[in-house]
Amino acid sequence: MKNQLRVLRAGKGWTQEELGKALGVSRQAVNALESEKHDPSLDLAYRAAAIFDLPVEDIFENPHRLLPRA
Amino acid sequence: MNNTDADNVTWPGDRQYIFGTTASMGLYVISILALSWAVPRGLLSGPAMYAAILTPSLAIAIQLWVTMRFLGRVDEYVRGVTTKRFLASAMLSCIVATTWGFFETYAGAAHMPGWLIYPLFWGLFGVVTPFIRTSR
Repeated sequence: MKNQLRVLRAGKGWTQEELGKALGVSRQAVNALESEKHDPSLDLAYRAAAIFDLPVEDIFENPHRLLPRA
Repeated sequence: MNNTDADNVTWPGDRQYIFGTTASMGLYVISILALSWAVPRGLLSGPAMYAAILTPSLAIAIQLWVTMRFLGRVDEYVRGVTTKRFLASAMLSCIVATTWGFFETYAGAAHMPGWLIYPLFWGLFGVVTPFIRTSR
């Protein structure tokens, strides 16, 4: 799933390890999310949204949305 | 930061998993070596021999328990990718054993002992691991 995690993480100056600690997952999981090898659960997506204070769809692209958000 | 129980669980460095796997593998190998040494010498017989014969299977059951507990501790990505690797190697082991069995029955191939399936599973786990890197 396409996402902005790498950009957002870089914006905070965090390593994958640090973002993993914030999300409660391993560094491998962060790497897999950033390289689109893992689609996050809804719970993990919400955790990312809370950490970056953004709506989920601003972090993870919704592949099912046909029209751009207003 | 929002820490959870997954903080200290990394892969493949999970201490409980490494300890449990080392213990079960050790029990598996030692029990087979002991059987191979003791039974031909007539040192084991009756219920003691039957109990010794069941020990390698007990080691595999312990590995199953260790792995299930590991999957309960790790994060969703590690859980997903590890489960896919186990499933792939288990099914490939079934394919190899089934194919060999039919070759034995119909084509006169040499007999493959059933206990080879477990080491075959781990060998195939090592083979599939580099190729299964996504949880999808």
